[in-house]
Amino acid sequence: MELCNTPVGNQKLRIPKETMKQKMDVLQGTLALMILKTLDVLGPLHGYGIARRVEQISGDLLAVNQGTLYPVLLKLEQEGSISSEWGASEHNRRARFYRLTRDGRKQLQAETRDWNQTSAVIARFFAAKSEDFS
Amino acid sequence: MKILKRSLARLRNLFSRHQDDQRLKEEIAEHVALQTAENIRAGLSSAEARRQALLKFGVVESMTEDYRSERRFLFFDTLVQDVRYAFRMLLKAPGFTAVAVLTLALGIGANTAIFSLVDAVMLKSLPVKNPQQLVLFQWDDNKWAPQFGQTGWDSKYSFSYPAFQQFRAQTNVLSSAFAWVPLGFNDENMTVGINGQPTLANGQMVTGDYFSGLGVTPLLGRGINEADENPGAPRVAVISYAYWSRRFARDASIIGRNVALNGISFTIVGVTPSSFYGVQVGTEPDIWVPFDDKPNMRPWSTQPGGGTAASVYTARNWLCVNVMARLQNGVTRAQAQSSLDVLFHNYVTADWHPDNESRVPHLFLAQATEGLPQLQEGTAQPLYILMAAVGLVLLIACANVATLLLARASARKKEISVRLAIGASRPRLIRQLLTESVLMSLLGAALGLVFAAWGTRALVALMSSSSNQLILDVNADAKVLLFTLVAAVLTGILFGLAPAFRITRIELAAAMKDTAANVSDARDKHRLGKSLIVFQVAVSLVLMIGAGLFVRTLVNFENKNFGFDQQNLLSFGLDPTRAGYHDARLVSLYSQLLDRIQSLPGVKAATLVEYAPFYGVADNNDTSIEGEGNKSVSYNVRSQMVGPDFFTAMGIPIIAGRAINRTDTAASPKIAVIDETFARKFFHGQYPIGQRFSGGDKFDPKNSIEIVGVAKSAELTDPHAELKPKAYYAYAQSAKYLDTMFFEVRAQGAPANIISELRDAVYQLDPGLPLMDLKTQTEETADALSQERLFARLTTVFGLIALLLAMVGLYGTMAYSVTRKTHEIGIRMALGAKPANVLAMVIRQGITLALLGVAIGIVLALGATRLISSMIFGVTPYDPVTFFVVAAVLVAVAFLACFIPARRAMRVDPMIALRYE
Repeated sequence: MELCNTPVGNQKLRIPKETMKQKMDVLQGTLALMILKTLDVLGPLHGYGIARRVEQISGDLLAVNQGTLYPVLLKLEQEGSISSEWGASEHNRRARFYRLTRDGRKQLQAETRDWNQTSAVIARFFAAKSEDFS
Repeated sequence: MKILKRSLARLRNLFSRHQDDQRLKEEIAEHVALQTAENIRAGLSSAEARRQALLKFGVVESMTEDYRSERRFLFFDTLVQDVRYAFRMLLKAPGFTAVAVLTLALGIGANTAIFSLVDAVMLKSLPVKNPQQLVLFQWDDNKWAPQFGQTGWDSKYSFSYPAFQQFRAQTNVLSSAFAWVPLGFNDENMTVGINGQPTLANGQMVTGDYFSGLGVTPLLGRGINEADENPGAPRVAVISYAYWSRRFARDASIIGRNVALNGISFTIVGVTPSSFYGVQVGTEPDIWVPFDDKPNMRPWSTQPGGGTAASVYTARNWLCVNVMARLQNGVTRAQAQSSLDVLFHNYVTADWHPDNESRVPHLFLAQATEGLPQLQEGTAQPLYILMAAVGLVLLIACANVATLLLARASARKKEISVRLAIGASRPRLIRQLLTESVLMSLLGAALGLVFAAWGTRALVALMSSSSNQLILDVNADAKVLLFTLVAAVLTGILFGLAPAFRITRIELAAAMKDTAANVSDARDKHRLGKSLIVFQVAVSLVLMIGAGLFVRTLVNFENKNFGFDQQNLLSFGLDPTRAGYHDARLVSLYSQLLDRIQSLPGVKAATLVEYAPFYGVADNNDTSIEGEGNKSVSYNVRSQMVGPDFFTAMGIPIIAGRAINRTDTAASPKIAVIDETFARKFFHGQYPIGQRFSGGDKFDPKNSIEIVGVAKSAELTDPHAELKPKAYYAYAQSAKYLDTMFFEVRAQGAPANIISELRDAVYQLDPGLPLMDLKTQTEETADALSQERLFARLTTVFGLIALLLAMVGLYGTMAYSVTRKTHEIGIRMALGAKPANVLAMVIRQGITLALLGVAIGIVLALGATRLISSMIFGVTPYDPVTFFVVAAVLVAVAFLACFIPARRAMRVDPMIALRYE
């Protein structure tokens, strides 16, 4: 997976309310999946690391309100899809590291399958011409 | 599945709140620190880097809220918060809290007390092994086989000993079976010689399987076993823990000690554990002895003759023992019952061949987890009525506390409106207010438990009489505690809900202003507060009417003329058969003693009678006369053996013929005196003197008895009963049937003065004869009316509590209303209203509520008193006098409750009122 660096400069964070709401809805549905995939590819990561990777890959979806990651991480942990333990961060401070469990891996595979199926069906619909609906 | 995992995780996390919150804080801090470092690397200043990092992270509080709601069930988090806050609020208003908690303690405590009683009587299992495996033998005594004779209390539980032996032999369905029978009808049925002194105790005869079948492990020594039943076996006895404490001071050397029981030497071989009280709730034998048939020690202290056979072992049809059994493993109660019913059927029909099969009674096996249900059956309805009454008291207490809460609402208005304004949801606030209510309720319940512990014991003492003590285990068990807890929570929700809704329905802007001249207040109809007062008055009326009916019932009974003179009458019983007196010797003893007593200076008159009036026991026999055309006319007749001078000593007039006197001896012809009821029933106005009757359902001329007198009817057995036909016999002519007799002594002055003389008289004749049941007739009658007395007392207490609560509530509401309306009153007075008008206005408001409550209460009472119609006497459930008097009292007290605040309103100085903000 490609990692792109989004430049962080003196940018005013002015995001219109409606767009933010849209992004929130999408976020709740797919953030869990993105977290699982991130951990699957990159191995154990702490919260900040996951946030950065998700931000980089999904564009500006998690550019703000990165804190919303944590309740989702907790939900996944209580479901048993990921597990966590204390470890050392880059600055040799204590950080909580999350890793994918076997159940999580299975869940990831199942959901990936579902997504691909769904998007294939939708694609067929979008490709359909007026004649096909008769 | 996932939801289940998350829920379980949430439950587990209930206990790790602090660590969880710490962890989140650390994670957030680390995240922000890493982002800050990144920003610094990208070129921002450290301050700006941190600011941007925080902005990017987002709002911490709402995220923490989401996190926490995922981590645990938020309900519990807020519950802890609510409880802490509730405690603080309650402590802030100590006076209010104290009054509310006390009121609730009274209401909940009373309910717990009655429930403890219900639990002890009806719900507690026998303190034996696996009581649910025990079965009690019973038969339908509506189908009476003619050969049966019964001695004891409840005939449906009585069987003959030979029948029991047959049951016991059915080991294929019963793993063990045992029988027991008391040695008399009261607690003093056995004479125990301790250190040469005769004392009285409560004794029972039991068969060998009693203790082992019940599964009772003795505290000391052993129980009775089968070997003890063999004739010629050494005589052994087992005593109860209570008796051991009472008489022997828990002497450890009790095992092997010899005592004289009814003059026979027994060895004590065991002591039962303190929790064991036998198989009948409410009674506890002191001594158990093996089953036997001795002249000094017979079932029910009866003597052979007339209905009771020569030996209990051979008396096929003398129903006198109770039977219980334990089912064999794998056998159901139904199976055992059908198998044993066949046995019973054959047993009955061996001596009787009815023309119709359906007339043969059947055997039933009832579950015996709570033992022989004699007490339960007798007290079920009264206990339920008491529970209903005390439940009503609790309802009033709830309404009262709700009124208090509403009154306090104004003090908290600002607090509530501020909380609503800064975003608290109404359901959340209501939940918090309910937490306060339930907390108050729980505090009240805790105090109530203390009240109840005392109250239940007082109740049991009230329900006991000296000759039949009620022994109950009233210690609070899990059921009682659970009941109290549930009652407390429900009470808290009940009285807290409406005020909580009311309080949180506030118009914010107006409420946050400080002025008393609130538009909202004046418009507010305070409907909830008013309806609570009306409710309290209505329910109080119902309780007071109930109390009134019960009090009148008691008075009616106490004033009822039972046909004999109860003044200055003292009685005591003797059972010389325990000391070896029988037949002629017994008659001689009684006769000598009677002469002695009659010659005592303080004694106006004295006589003998088989059972003291209202002792509660009677002999009932089928009696027949020769009717038309040689056909027998037969009725069930109550009979008593009496001594000479009976009718004059008891004050029962003889209206025809003569009374029984000293010339009626064993040598002279057998005679009897009948009563009016007998004469009317059998002879329909014909002159009965000289006629003859006999026992049994067919007139037997050879064994007939001549009627020599007719006495006025008198009720001598049960104050509640209707008059039955009675026949009085000369005791001297019935030597065969004689056992216990009571001496009735009419004292010149107060009965207490002659007690010591009576004791001496008996002692001089034979020091080994203890006096049983020494009582005045007034005490005996009071004991017979103990249920009426209990109800009159209790319902009066409940009614008074209810009245007090309702009136204090009314007073409080009116006083508060006056305080609130001070401004308005000031305006009225300034505009020309006279003080008298103000007084009238306030009183009118209060009395309207009271009258409305009385009206509703009367309607409720008309429906409710039907439930107690079987318990009242001399008044109908709709007695207008009672209703009127109670209503009048209530209105009068309500007037007083309104008058005091009305007087205060009257004294309002308009100048001050108008200035008051």
